[in-house]
Amino acid sequence: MIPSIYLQVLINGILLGGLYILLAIGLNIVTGVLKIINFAHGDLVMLGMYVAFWLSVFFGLNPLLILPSSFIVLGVIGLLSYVGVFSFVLRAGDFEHLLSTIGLGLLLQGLAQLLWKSDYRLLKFELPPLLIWNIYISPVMLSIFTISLFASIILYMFLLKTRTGIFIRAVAQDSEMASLVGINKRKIHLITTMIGFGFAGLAGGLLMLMFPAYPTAGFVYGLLAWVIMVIGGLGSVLGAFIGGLIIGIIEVSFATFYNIELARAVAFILFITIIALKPSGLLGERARV
Amino acid sequence: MYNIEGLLILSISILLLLPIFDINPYFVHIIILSTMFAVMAAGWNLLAIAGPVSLGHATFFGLGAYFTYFSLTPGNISSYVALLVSVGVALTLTIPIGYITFRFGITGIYFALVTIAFAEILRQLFISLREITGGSLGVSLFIKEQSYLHFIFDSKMPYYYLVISIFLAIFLINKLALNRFLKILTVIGNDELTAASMGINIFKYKLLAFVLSSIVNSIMGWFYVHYLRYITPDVAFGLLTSVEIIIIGILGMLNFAGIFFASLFIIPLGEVLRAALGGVYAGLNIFIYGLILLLLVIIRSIRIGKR
Amino acid sequence: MKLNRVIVAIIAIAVVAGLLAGITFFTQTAARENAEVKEVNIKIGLLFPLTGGLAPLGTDQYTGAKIALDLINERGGIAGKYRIEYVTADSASDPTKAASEAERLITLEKVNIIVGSYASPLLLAASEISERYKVVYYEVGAITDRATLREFKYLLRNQPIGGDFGILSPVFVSEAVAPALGKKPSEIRVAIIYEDGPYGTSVAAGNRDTVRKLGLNLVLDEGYSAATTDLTGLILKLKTAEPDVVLHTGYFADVVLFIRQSQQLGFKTKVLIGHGAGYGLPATYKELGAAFDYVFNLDPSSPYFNLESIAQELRPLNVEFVKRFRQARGYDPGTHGYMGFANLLPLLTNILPLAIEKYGSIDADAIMKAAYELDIPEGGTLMGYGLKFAPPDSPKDTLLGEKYRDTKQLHIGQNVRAYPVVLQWIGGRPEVVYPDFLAARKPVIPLPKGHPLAP
Repeated sequence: MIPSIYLQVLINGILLGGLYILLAIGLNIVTGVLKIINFAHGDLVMLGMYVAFWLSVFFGLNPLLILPSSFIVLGVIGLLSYVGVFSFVLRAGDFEHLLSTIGLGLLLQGLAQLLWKSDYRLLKFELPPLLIWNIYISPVMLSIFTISLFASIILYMFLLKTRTGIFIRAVAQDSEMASLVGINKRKIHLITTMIGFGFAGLAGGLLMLMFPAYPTAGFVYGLLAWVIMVIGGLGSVLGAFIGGLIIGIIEVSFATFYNIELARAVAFILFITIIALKPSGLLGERARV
Repeated sequence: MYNIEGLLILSISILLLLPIFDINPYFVHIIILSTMFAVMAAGWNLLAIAGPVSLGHATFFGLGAYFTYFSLTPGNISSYVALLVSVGVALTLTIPIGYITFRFGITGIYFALVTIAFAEILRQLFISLREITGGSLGVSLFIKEQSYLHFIFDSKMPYYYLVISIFLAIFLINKLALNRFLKILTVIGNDELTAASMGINIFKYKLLAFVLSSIVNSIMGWFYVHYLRYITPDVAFGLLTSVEIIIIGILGMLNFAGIFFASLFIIPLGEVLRAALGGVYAGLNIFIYGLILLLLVIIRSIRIGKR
Repeated sequence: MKLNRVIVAIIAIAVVAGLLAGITFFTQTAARENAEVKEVNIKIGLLFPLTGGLAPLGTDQYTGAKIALDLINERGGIAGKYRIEYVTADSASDPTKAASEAERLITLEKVNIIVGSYASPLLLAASEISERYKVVYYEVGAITDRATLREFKYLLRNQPIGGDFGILSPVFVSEAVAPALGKKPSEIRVAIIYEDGPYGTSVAAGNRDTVRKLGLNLVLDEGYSAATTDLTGLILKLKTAEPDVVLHTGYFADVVLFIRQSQQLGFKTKVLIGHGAGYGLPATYKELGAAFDYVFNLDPSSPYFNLESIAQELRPLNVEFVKRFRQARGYDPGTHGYMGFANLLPLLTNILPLAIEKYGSIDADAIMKAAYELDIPEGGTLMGYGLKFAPPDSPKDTLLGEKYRDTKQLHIGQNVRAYPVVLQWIGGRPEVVYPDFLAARKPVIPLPKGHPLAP
């Protein structure tokens, strides 16, 4: 069994990375384009988890089928947030942005606690593991990875090929210039917020396949999302992808061969090193896709 | 048009005289907490004026708290020495971080994320090194007898006066001695390029602000341990502590008087909401709190937008 | 602009709402203060985490405590004569807030006793305050050994300590598991894994020391963060270590993750023993189903034990509690709800009546004196264990500690007769299987064939 442990670690690291990628993508976009630090990201993911949970329970459907609804509901919340909050706040300074996202996050947390109490909510989504060449592969994690990959590709294509996508990248790169050439900045901000929040919701929906939902769940996932985002690169989908994979692999390897407690700390140290050496992340450069 | 700083002096004077009337200790406690956070937010603010927004400011508070405990455990060291130790330790982290980030121009969101990372790393470290730090259960200050040597009292009054005095002192120092310093920081914060072209040594000023900021925060860590006598990695380095500081700093609109009033508004607000709604409607208090923050920010943004 | 007016309207409403909330709060307090002057009034403050990360289990314990209070009030109150008034406070899973709430309960609400706390950091923080005011703090849930080692004069804890949780499982392994597996204790391979918070760490410390003392073979000893999103590394290490027994302490999410990922990675073992928290939750069983069958858990007793082992007049209370809890929460109580109920009851049925009848007062010193005088033998409380609080003039270690701890701990205010028991999840309920006299049935060792984690 010993030689195959390396392969097992690698595979699991990659699969875990898939989870992390999706966490970061939504944050990446919003941060890169709107230039705000979104403190509410984790809470949005939490909300996505609850949406997936309740719809799944209510309709009795396979959670995988419910996923798009998490995206959509959170997208709507993005719309509401933009109209109700960001459209005002973006005119002011960085501090106002920050405080508004803090307030938003707390509001969502309080809402979740009030509506759904603090009980853990968990979905039953069990599938027996696949055994290939002595390596165990979890079908659940495999689904998560595949969906992440799929979603990342769709986003990548969107940003690369579609008119709106190009405009988004333009605004991210240089919003002054973008306005001058006639791009409606506010509309782009709105769309980006919706997409970014939607992806956060999607990430939550995926997380629901394996983890319980509870009102303060966003705390952990939010922090994780930032680490991945920075390591991979601000504003870069490919960067978020690679960042997620790297962290996944590092965490699993460190946990297996050394000590799981410090695995997360190692990720943070890497995070700091990258900021120190190459602040825009491994691949990031304002808005390279 | 009233002078907000005059209002501040008046308010502090009132607070200092308050104990003459038999005030319920709970209110004293709330004022102590609010003032403590006001001091920390003021420290945070000093750095924020110049640009760098620290999202992990609990770091210095936490180091101050823990190293106060470590200094006091042998038993024969006075609290005043412990104070020097805590501040000193905090600085051993501040100076390298400051040096690296400011020298290499790591600013904005990257600086913010570095500060978060440090707070998280320290939190995890203090949890893992459980033999020394007590792990996630934290440490309790085991000094029973009241004394000035160890600043342990059953009554709240010494703590009340101390923290208010510290805030007053910082305010006066700012007003009287640091005027020019603050102005320069503001210039740097507004437009670094212009400031540099005016010959200002950006690096030196930012580092100085960072140092002063962390000193002030680590002092509050020292204070916290003496007042509540218990500290855990989550309270010391947790994101919630850092966020509390930021909320007050931002609401206070980055000036001292503003921060003081913001703190005396937001912390009691949280307490009242939790006390009134905490039982049956658990969660509603957090919701309303978030909503109020949002509304305040939106109002202010609209005002700023209008100018 | 219209939008601005809408916003102004919203703000106005928010401000008015806030003012109303504030005014209501303050006037309620004023009203209570007035009422107090008129009659002798026992007031208890319930301090539990009802929001924040610790809320899911804290709320269960809080509910159990409330049920106990309501039950006694229905019967006329303390000694059938004095109704208890109680107030709820949310410690919000944060030590600073726990301290603030303790301040409020004592100085504003003027409670006689604070009952709490579910979590150790909350207990440590809040009791610092109560001790300063010389108000009695009665703990029903937090297990950190340290709480009663601080020489506090006004702290009572009716709950087993973490160290004892740590001791009991290796003892169980040595005395019940080893023979069932046909091996000598020294041949049993044991792995200790735990969430690195205060709970997991204190239990694991006890595990570690006792495993070494009993000569069991410790093959893995590792902590992890309860908020972890992946346990692959740890499980792969476990696979390499090939333990016969896994001693695990964790909360809900990580326990579920551990068992699910173990299945996903093909980790097999013969015996899995949990130590409260996640392993005691009915929700865990609900989510894991068959994979959680035959898993062991250590806790103060669940409601499901051999009722013959406790005094006859207490038995109906057990049944009544299960019924009310189900009504209140919508599911069967696990160990946490029962702790809130059963551990609190002696305060209401034994300590307070004694203080009133013998000392004519419910001030803190009278309560403490009455508490130290109690001497209830095994079977005399709803937990099955007896009751004897170690007094300040003769601090003692617990029953299990006396027997198995090398360096004795000197507890004050701790019910030294409290001990956890070993339960096993069978048919969806945690049944007591050890020690024998409390057992509802015999334990099933090892995990039967066909179990997802069985080899």
